[in-house]
Amino acid sequence: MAYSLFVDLDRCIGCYTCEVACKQEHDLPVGPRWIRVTRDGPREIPGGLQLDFYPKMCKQCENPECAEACPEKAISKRSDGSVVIDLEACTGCKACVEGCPFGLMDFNQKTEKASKCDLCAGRLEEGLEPSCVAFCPGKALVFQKEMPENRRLMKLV
Amino acid sequence: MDAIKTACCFCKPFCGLLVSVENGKIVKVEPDPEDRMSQGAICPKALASKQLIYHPDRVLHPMKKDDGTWTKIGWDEALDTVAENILKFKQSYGPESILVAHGTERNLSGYAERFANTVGTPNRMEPGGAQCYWPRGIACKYTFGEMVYYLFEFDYTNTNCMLVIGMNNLIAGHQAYRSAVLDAKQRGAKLIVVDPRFTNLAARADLWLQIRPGTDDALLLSFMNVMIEEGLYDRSFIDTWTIGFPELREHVKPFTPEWAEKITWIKADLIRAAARMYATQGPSVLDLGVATDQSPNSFQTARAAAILVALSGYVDVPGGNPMYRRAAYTDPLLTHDFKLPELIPEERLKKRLGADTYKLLGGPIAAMSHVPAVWKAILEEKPYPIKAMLAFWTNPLISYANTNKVYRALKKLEFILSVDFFLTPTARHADIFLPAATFLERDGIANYYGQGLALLAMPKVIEPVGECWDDKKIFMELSKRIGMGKYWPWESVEEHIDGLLQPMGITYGQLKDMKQVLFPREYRKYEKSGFKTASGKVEIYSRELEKMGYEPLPVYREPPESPYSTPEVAQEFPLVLITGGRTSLYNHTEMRMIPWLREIQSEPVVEIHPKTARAHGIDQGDLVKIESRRGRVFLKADLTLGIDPRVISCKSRWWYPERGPEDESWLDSNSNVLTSDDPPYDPALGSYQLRALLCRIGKGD
Repeated sequence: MAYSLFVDLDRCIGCYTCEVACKQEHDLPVGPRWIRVTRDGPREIPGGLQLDFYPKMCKQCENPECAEACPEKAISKRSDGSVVIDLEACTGCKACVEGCPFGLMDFNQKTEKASKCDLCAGRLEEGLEPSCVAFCPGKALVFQKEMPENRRLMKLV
Repeated sequence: MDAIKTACCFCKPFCGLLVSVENGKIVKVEPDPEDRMSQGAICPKALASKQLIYHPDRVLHPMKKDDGTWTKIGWDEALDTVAENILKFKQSYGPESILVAHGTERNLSGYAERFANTVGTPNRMEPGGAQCYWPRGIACKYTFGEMVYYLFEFDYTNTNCMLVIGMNNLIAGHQAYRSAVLDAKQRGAKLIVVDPRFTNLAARADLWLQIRPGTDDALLLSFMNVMIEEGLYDRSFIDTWTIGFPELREHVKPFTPEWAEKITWIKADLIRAAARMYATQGPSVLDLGVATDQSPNSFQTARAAAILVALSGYVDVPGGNPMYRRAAYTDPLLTHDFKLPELIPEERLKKRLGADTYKLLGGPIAAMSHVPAVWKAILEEKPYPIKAMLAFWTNPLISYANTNKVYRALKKLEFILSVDFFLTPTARHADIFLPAATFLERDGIANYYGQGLALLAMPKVIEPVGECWDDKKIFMELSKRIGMGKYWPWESVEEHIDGLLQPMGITYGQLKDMKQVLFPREYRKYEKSGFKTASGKVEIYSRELEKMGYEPLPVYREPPESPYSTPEVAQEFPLVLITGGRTSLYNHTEMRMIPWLREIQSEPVVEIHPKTARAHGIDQGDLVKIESRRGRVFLKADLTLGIDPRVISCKSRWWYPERGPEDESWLDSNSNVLTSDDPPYDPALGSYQLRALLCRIGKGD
C-alpha cells in the first residue's frame, strides 16, 4: 500500500515547525526545503475572509516525471510507494529539478546532488512517523491513518 | 547515543526536550513526548537550537574594547575590570548611578534582580516591565488579591467559549495551547478574537472584532455595559464574592456598544453579539495578551478585563480562568526573599527612578525603574546621573521604544557591560563583553511559565562551548569581586540549586531524576479561604487604588497620539501603526542569525491593505518608507486584506546579524525607530504608548 499524508486545514497554523523538523532530521543546509509552508489568503469569501496554511512536499507520484527526466536513471519508485534518489548515481545535472511539474525537487548546494523528501525513511524503519508529522504542534498532519470525517483535509502524498 | 531530558528556554514556557548528545556535542534537539505541558509538540525555534549553540559568530571568550578594538581577554581580567568599574561608580556617583538592564524573564531574571540588589542599585529595568506582564499581573493583585499568571490561567481543555484579546495563542503563549485551542474549536467551542489583524487565530473565530488599535479599554467597558444591562452576569457570584458591583453598574451605563463603536471601529451589533456569546456560552475563558500592556492605559484596561471575568463568574472554575497559584508559590527563584530586596536601604529605594509617581511599577512587586526616567537620567543627569549599564541578555538598541533616543543615551554612558551570545548592535557599544552559556549548557530549575503547577529540572546537556559561562556563575564571581560574596555564598551552581530545593526536601540530583515536581490543581479555592484582598472578596471597586490616587473603577483613555486625540498630527501622519505582531520563528530581538529560521523569514515586512497601498503606488514587495514623529524605517510591502486600510503593521525589532557588528542598517529596519516613549504614561504603571501610534507611508525608493 502506498503511503498517504494529509493536512487538516483546520489545524495547520502556519508555524513552520515541520520545515525546521525536516531540516534537522535530514541535516539540510540552506537551500533545499523538502517541505514548505504556503499561506493562502486572506482572501475574500462570502461573508468575510478566509486564511489557510498548508505545507507542500514531494507527492511521491505514481509515475514520477522527475524519474523520467533523470538521464542517469537515479530516481526510482520503491514498492512502498516512496520515490527515492540513488545519490551514488546522481550527477547533480538538475534535470529532475526541471522535470518536476510541481517545483518540489530541490538541489542541495552542499552535496551538489538532487534532494527531496523521502518520507523520513530512516524514521519509518524505526516505527516512527516522519518528523514533520511527529512534531507538528497543531497535530495537523495525518500519516497513514484513516481519514477523519468532517475535516477539511488536503492530500499531500 | 544518549537522549537527555531537559526543557527549552528559547522563550518562556519551558517545553520539554530530548537532546541527543554524541561525544559531548549536540546532535539533535527534539520534543519530549512525556512532557506534561507540551506533550511532544514543539516550535521551530527549539528544533533549531543546535544552530544557536554552534553558530560561527557566537562569541566564545571574554573581550575588552580598547580604542574601538576588541581584544580577547581572560575571565579574571574581565571580571576584575567590571568589578573595578562597579566600585568606581558607586564611590563617585552613588550606587544608583549603575543601571542593571536585563532581557525577558526566562529562568534568570530572579538572579538579575538579586544581583542589582547586591550591587546596591535601586535602578533595574527591562523592555517589558510596565509594557509587559506587570499591568495584567498587578491588576489581578488588586482585583483578586493575588498575582496570577498574566491574567489568570486559561483552561482551554475544558472551555466552551474563548475570548482572546490582543494576543494570538496559536503563535505566542504556551506550546500546549496550540493544540488545546484547535481541539476546543473542533469540538464546537466558540471563539471570539479581538485583533486589528486577520491572524491565523482570527481566521478560526466565530466572531472577529477588528478593533482600532489601542482601544481595548473602550471595548471591555462596553462588554460590561451589555452584560449588566441585559442581566447576563453571574448574579450569585457577584452577590456572594464581590464588592463594588452597584458602583460599576452606574459607572458603565454610558459605555454602550454605540458609544464604543465610534471609538473602536467595531459595529455595535458585533460588540453585543460578542458580549452575549462570552457571557452565555460558557464556561468561558478570557485571554488578554501583551497588546494592552503597551498603552498608557494599561492598568485600567487589565482591571476592566479582570472585572469582566468576575462578571462572568468563570473565576477559578474548569473551562474558565483558573487561579493557579503564581509561580512564586512554587518556584524559589521567584520568591521575594530570593531577590534580597533588604540590601537596598529605604533612603536609596526612594531614588528608584519613577517609583514615586508610578507606584505599582516602582513598588515592591515589580520593583523596576521607569524606562523614560532612566533615559533622562543618562541624557540629562536629572535628578542624578546614571553612568554605567550592566546589560544581561538584552539588546536595548533594538528592543526599546524610540531607538534614536536610546542610541543617544547609550553613547553617553561611561561604562557598559554586555553579557550575551553575540556581538549585537548593543553589545558592540560595550566596554566588556562576557560570553554566556545557552540554556543547554547550564543547569537550572524553572516553572511552567508563571504556572505554579510544576517545578522542572533543566539540566545542562553539554559543557559550555568555548569559555562561555553560566550566568549564575558570572553573578557569583562578580559579587565576590565587589566584596558581596557572602550574598552569593555557593561554591558551585549545583550546590546553590540544592540549597534552593532544600525546603522542598529534595536535591537537584533527585529533581533531575524526577524531571518535575507536580503540584495539585484545585478549583474554586476561594470557597474555602476567600480571596486575598482586604475585603476577602473580588474588589470590583478598589478602595486601595483610590487611596493611592488611582481610579477605583476602570476607565477609557483615548491613545495620546491618535486620529482623535491629535487630529493635527493625523493630518501629517494619517495611518495607525502597530508593531506587535509576533512570529513563531523568532523571539523578540533574537534568532535572526539562525540559518534554518532566517531562510523561512528573511526580512521584515509591513502589512498594508491593498487599497492603501494602491493610493501610494505601492505594489507587493516594494520598499516602503514608513515615517512617524520619531523617525523612519524602510520595509518591504506585504499587501493583505487582513488589515484595516487605516492601519499598517510592521514586523518588529529586526536587525541583520550577518552584516557584522559595525553595521547600522538596523536604524532602517527596526520598527522601534518609529515607536514612542513620550508622556503621558499610565498613571499607576508608567506604561508608554508603544502601539497604536500615527505614521505615514510612501514609496521607499
